[in-house]
Amino acid sequence: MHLPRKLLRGDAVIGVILLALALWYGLEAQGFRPGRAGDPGAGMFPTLLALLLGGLALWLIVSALIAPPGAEETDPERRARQRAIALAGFIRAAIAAALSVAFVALFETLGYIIATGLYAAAISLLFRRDNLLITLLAAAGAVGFLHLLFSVFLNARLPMGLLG
Amino acid sequence: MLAELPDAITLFMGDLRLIGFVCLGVVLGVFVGAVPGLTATLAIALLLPFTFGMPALEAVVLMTGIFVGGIYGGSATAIMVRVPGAPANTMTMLDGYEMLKQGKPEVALGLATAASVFGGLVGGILLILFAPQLARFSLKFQSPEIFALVVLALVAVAAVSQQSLVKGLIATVIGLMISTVGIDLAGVPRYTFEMFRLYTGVPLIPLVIGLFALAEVLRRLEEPHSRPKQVAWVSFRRIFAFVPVWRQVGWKLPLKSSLIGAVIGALPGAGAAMAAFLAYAEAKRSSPHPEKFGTGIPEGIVAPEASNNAMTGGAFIPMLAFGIPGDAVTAVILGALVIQGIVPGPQLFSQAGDLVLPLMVGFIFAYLVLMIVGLVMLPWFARVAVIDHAVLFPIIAAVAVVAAYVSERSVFAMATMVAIGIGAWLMQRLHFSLVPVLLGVILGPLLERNFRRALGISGGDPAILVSSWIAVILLLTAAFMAFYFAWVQPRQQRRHEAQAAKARGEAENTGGGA
Repeated sequence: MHLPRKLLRGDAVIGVILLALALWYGLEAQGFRPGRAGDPGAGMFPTLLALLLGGLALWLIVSALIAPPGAEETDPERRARQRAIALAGFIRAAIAAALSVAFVALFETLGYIIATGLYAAAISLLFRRDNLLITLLAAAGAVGFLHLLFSVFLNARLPMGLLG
Repeated sequence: MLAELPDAITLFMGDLRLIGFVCLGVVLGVFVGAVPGLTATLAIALLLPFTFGMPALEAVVLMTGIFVGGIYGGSATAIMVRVPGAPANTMTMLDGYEMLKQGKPEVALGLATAASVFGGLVGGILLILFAPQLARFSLKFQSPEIFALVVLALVAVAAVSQQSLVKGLIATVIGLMISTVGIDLAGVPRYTFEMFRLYTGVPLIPLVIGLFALAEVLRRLEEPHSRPKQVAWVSFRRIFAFVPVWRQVGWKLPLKSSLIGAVIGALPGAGAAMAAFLAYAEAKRSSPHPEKFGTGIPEGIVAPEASNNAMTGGAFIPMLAFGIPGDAVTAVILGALVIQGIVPGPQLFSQAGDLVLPLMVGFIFAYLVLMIVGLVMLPWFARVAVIDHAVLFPIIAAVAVVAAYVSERSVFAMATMVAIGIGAWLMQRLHFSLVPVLLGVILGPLLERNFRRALGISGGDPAILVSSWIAVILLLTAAFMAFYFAWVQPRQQRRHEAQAAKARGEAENTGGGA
């Protein structure tokens, strides 16, 4: 299967980022204690990994540049619709990622009950917004399930935060 | 070792907790397998923090039960609502759903259950017969051979886990790089950014949860929301309606399919979906009526289900004998063993013999439980497909984040999990597979330790890595595999696509001319 032109261009960019990662990782490795006879040292294995990643990144860049592009959707209307769906999906997932970061940041302050309820409700709303009952069910389900699993069955101590 | 089997059976059957954990695992596994989007890998990843404090054998049999149930569970939704619970059940869907449309859902579900149990038992018997032999053989392995074996496993997983070899290899190297975080063999801190918590490395439980739970939730959010489907009720009076049909199919096809599945399972990275696909293709090829495949014939259900369940036993063979997992689930189970302080491989058979044989007995027992669970509860399990994703996935996301907290009792573990989950989601978007990452993390220390030990013995001469015939064969196999997937296979695929496009063009021209 030939990959579409857009994805190939993306692969070339990823290759450049990976090349930079390999460079940083390899340079860091040079700062570790050098090896001696009978022990290659702490830096040798990471150095080899950096070289390997660098080589693979170059391979990715070259193959993205020389590969023949696959067929893309020719109908502009359908292409625009596909792009809009993909973008909406990406935004939903990116918001959920940001919500996960916020959940971690507020977990101890708000406590697990409030934080989990809000987090589950927000994620549920990202899936569908047309039914508030579903959202409430997801929030109550998440809090109830977590409470039963961690506090009741496993006797794990979770932060109570504002309710503590 | 087989002489100790009766003792292991006695030990297992005399321990009600073990039996209970197998039953619980199977039921949980069938549930997650039946829910499209949930996998045994995800369930086991979420379970890791809870198994940490359990005795090793109980933890492993619980995970084994989930593995067994998870592979099978997806057949219910594949047949009932034409949504495979996992990719491994896609082939079952083709004939299973057609059989449902013919008004015979009980027969389709019964055949899937019987074939799954048959395949699983064949895989279990092969596991008991071959794992100890392979483990004994692997006692010959010194550092160069172990290094070569790990290289082969990493290349194999990178090659078969996705379309692009280079992306598979990059994912593997990223996993290996993560494994270098922490204090090295000589006590040197590496890539710790002076954070004390990273001195013991990236915590494995949050890593696994991030890779397979949070990333999956984010990936699901990208897909447009679909309404749950309605499922027809199945009559319990007809749960044995499949028996006469099974008799018509005979034993040869399930046995052949099971052997295919077990062999595929033993190959690192191949997985259940490939086992099911190959068994289906072989059943069709060798059938006197191949044109009937896809129209609801029993062979189209029996072959893939026997094969993908036999795969489970096959996947355990290299994991127990060499410490090299055969698929994603066994990779996570391997991680669980490592967390418990158990190192699979030949030492496992000598040092932790009390674990291996009861585990194998537990594996066989799980399939016997599956027979009962499958027949009695399968019509209900099919109904979990109607659970709304807007309820299910928020709960999974919340459990994932809090489970990471519980695993280390720290917000740092949560943050690590979320960071890895977001990174894994982005990697998936860019068509990188996550299984090679996990394998790189788990096998990285083993690879580096044996690499450094070998060079230490030889005084820095890398020729030691190819100093034995076993190491040479393993490295040559890895090189051949890399060459095949980098060079030969893409060209074959392009040729097939060109032929298909040409044939389509000719057909259109002919149609246009007429």
